[in-house]
Amino acid sequence: MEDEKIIELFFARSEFAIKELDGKYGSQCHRLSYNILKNALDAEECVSDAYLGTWNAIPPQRPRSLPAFVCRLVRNFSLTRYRSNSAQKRNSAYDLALDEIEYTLADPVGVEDILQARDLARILEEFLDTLSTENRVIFLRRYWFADNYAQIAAQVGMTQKNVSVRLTRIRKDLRVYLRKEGVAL
Amino acid sequence: MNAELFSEAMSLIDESYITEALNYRPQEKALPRWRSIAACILLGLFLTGTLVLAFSPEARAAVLGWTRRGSGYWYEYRFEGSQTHAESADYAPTWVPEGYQLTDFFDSGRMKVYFYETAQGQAFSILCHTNMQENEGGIGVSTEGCDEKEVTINGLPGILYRSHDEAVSSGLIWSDDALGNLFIINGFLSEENMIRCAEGVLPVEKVPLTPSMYAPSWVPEDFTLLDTVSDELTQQYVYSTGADGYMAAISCLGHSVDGEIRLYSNSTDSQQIPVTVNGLPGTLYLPHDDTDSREIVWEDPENQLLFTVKARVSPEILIRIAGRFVPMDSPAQRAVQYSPAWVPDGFVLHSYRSQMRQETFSYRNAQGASLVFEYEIATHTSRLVSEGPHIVQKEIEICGCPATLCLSSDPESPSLLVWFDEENTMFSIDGPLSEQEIIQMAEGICRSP
Repeated sequence: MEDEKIIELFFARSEFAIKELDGKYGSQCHRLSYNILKNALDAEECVSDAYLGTWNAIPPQRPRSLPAFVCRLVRNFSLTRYRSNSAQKRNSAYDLALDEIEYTLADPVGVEDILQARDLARILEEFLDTLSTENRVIFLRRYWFADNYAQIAAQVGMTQKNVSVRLTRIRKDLRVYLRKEGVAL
Repeated sequence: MNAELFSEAMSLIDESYITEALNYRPQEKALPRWRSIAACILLGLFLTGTLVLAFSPEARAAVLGWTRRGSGYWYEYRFEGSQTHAESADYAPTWVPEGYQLTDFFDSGRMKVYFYETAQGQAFSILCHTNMQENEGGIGVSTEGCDEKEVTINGLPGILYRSHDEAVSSGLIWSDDALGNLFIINGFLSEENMIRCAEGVLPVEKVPLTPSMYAPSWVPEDFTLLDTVSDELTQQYVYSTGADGYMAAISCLGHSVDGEIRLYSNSTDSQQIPVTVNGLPGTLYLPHDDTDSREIVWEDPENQLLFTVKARVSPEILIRIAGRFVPMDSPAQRAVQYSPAWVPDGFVLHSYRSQMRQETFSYRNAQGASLVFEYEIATHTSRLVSEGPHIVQKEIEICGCPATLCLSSDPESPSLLVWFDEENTMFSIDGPLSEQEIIQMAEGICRSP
């Protein structure tokens, strides 16, 4: 079913909307949440929360991109759950992705107070615009979807080694870009 | 800044980036050098010109046809035959060296190019140009770094260009002047493989097979048909399943004229188990993540059809859906069905066969031992036992039905359990199981109608 029709089902308050949404994007949502949480039960709950969030948001909202909308909700719910779980253990794919980027971003004390997430998001968007489409997708798949190298390699049609090298270069470019933009590292 | 702030910022980026990452599909890979050469050959088809040297001057005097002209390292193949030749069939490769997969295909009607590649990136191409018309154009070939050897391919004259440079591909060109056909193999193959591959380039039927006559004759009760999709090469049934509404799809894919079946599957990151479905070879894909759908893909080589079923169901249910995806004019299948709900550890599904009154599930373990569950409704069999020096027979009950257990004390020979229900359905389990295992498996079957 086309996304527009699913959105229409939400507007009609038809429960079939959730069913169609799950049928079409459930697999991606579960994978995204599982990548972050590494726990099937937690992932299931976060995806359910995201579906409920979608149900509550549409209407009045009418998202431009339904998968992006629901994936963002899944990611936010999953990160919230991740943070509450992270005191206990660190072993998810998302930990690995964050560990990778940590070096690029390191890290004097107190900078968070100066640089707000929204400002950084704008700078990151500008940086993403400098990348090729392929590199942008690789970066997003790694640091937004928390995909592992094999999953990224399968999506972009290259080897895991190539993905790894690309990510290394992108992180290096990001570091340079952040410095240029005056972001203290 | 730290990773947490980065993570938070990533959550705020515009959704257009997320949409792009969700929808991204890779473009065609850049052509490696060997393929660039092939591309040059194609490009040269209608562009190249002048003649210098005949491909086979002596033969050319008698029969007009493909001529090779050029000198040094550059030659042009041009057809100069009469236009009265008969209509040629299409040609397609029937053999390629082990490990090569068709990765690309170019079709301009009378010219077809098949591109093959190994997992390690070694590649070659096969060009088949049929029914070339006089002065239609030439095909340019660079032969730098190659020596030449005259060969005969299926009775037709050809030249093998053997490269001495590891970075330059070898080539084999042969022609059929009577039909105006020219064939070129280009790539990093050994001389032996290149000639064998050439000999396997044979005429093929032009008519694509349509799979539209196939339909599922059985799906689980909680499957709701949402949609059917069909075109000239594909027939697909899409279902919503169970309470959670996960999607399932049953598909039949036909063989296109180019000889390729196009299957898009994301099951490559799964455990792959070879199976047979009603005697046809296939693969069962079991994802490592239980929340993903399982998939079975099988092939009917005789009719050049490929089938897939993808759903979040057990392997037994999946293979049953597969086995009952049949031509539409097949006899109606019975409504009742049984399948094992439990099999001993180590046994994995190996094959499934569905007949009018009978179903067979076969399992194998790592040692190659076979375990078979079979049932037949309205059976004509009244008794089935296994006999031998190591066999001890016992009369027992399975779910209230009388059963005969032929228990083997020899690990080499299987035990057999047979029972009949009130409707004269005969069940049997045949495998190297202990008494406890075989009874546990039988009782699982009773509970899974």
